[in-house]
Amino acid sequence: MHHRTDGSTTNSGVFLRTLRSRTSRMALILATGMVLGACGGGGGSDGSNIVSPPPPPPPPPPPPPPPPPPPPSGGTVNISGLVSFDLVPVSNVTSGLDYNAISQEPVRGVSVQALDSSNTVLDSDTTDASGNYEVTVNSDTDVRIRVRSEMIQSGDGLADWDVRVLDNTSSDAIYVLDGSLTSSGSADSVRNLNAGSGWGGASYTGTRAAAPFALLNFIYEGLTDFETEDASITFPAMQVYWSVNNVPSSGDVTNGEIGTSSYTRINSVPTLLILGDADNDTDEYDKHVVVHEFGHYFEDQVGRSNSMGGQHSISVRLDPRIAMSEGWGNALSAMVLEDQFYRDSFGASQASGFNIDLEGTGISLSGWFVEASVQEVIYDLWDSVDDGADVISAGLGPIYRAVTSSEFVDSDNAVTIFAFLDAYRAQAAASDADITALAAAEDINGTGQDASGETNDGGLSTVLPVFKPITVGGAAVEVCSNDNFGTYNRLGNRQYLSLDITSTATYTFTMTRTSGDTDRDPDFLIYGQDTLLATGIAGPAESETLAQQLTAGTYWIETRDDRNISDGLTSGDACYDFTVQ
Amino acid sequence: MTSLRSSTALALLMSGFILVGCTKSQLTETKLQKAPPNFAEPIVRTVKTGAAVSLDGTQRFAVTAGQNGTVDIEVLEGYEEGTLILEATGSEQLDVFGANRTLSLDMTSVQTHAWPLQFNASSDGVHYIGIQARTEGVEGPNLSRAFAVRVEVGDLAAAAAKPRQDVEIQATPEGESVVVMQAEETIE
Repeated sequence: MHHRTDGSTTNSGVFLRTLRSRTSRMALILATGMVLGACGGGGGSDGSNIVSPPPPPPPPPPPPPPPPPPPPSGGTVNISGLVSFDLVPVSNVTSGLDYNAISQEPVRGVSVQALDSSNTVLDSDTTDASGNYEVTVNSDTDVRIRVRSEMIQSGDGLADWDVRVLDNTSSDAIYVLDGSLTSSGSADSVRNLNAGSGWGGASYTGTRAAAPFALLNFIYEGLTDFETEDASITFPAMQVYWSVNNVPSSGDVTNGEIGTSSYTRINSVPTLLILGDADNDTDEYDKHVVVHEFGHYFEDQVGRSNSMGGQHSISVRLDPRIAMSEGWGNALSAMVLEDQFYRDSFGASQASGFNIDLEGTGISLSGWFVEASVQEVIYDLWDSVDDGADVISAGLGPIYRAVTSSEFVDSDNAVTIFAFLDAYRAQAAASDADITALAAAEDINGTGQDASGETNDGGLSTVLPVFKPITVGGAAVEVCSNDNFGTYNRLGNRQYLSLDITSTATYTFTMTRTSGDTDRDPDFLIYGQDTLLATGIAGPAESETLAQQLTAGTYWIETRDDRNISDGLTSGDACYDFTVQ
Repeated sequence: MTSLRSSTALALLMSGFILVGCTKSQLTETKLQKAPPNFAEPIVRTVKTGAAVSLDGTQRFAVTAGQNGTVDIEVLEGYEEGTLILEATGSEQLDVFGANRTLSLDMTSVQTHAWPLQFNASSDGVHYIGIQARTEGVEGPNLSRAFAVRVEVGDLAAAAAKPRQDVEIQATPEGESVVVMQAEETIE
């Protein structure tokens, strides 16, 4: 692809742009020279002397062929080249970065500009899948090649995306990689640009120019994998905040205090926040981390996520909403990168790290509330290696179609591994029996988006059923909030209700403590599919009540004790009666 | 005594569910309208995979450059077994000293641990103590998580006013800000 950014063209510019290759341009010049030579060779008489023609003089020697004409003033030349970046790989042994194995890899799908001495854009292009670009500029003009840390694609038959890497500690300035200001000369030329790592042998001593392009490289892998499954997909614009000042401390993002590498929305813009804290935690080369967070972007913007976010780990009992989301992120990273070992580097010289084998974490805990179980189920649906209960090798296609299907996106319950499996079954990519067996191997036994028949309670009986049915005017349903496995996003902090409404009316929702610890703060939130509709979140009390108008439909209700999910409060265990009148 | 609170991952742990521009009390007020049509959607911040550990740091008192300071770190972990290895490091302008720069915590009993750290900075400004946390003896792979605990030294405003030397910012003719990085270029 090739386009001008200023939208202007000249006749010669348009003409020459049709003659892109050096070969075709040389053919034009030679052909032109041949025509001129033929005209010159035929001169010498105008035919007016008709009397006594003198004998013809001996013919003069033929003139030498004229040299190829120099480019006319205002002519153009092509500048082409390869854009690459230093890829610092993650060691398969230490899971740290291996600076002895740096390779130059193509920068794919990014914007390239030709600038004049005043930084005016003369022409632009997008690097192809091999990192190549070509621009056309006036000859004998000082030109600089600039590579922008952005990938923008749109057009017929192509997926649409718009991804930019910005410095959140420099007023969201975009990173650019500049070549030198050099004359374009009178002939086509080649300028190759590489973004260096900045590594000086024992530490970073130079600009870490490769980092933004490494990030784009990993995201490109994810974008193009999905594009392969659906060329009509539109990815909402996304920004990536990366800086050498991005440290694992929560605070002011404009100062680099991003907490950790994560996904969120900032001013409604989907945003990946990526660490750059040398000798502590950098993530620009931790490809699994980047694709994992891209996976959160995907589920939030293209599919659906009901994760509440927050700290998590593969071996703890999590709320099923975050277990689904984080398991998805881990699995997607392994699928996109075709590497089952999730790795993350840390520490001095980024030399240490950890890894998680998605094919077997060694964790005995399993179930619908375990991140490791979710990731293994999804990964096994994709991978081509049959092992144990895994006899499915269906690739990314049915997974993509499942997480973007109406069964999943419009699920009437919070999306969990159950909603995913329900949507996956609808893709008919594998037999029900094989899918059931694969899930059962992770002690995931319920079926349907509402987890009907689930028997694994994770050691806390009150969490079943996963979605408790409740009816208008029916008997009170007991819901509990426990801190047995931690707080904020752990199994048992929240419980879920499923409600069918048959007619539009104002309904009264009541949640009243019946047993357990006192001084609690019962809260509930009412959702319609993916939309939060109403909240009952008054202060601490024995009871919470809300009158809310609802139209006919199916709703899910999140119930919780605020003291089990909010910072600095005394957590505890209590149960409540929930009614809808 | 000045208490400077520095949240790290604890803020993420406990506040991953961020109601943008909308505190709980505001939501309560909205609820009282009985038909809340326009309250903000919850904004989620995910956290990368790693050890289920978080930290919260509180600087005991204000210090100036060259003066020893102490930051009290509260370590919160979500495990019922194993050991948590903690290691604190400084930087070129921040010395972290004392015997407890590395710490091994038993995670089988309590989940909250106190960890005081001493530091001395050679220049005014905001500095960060780097902390590596790694689990051992927990079922499954050993996992890590890094933190940066903020400490404040001397005149922060004056330090912040110094021009940055680490980046070259330019404005394009269109008014866009760009961070300029030089390429390794070959011209043929």
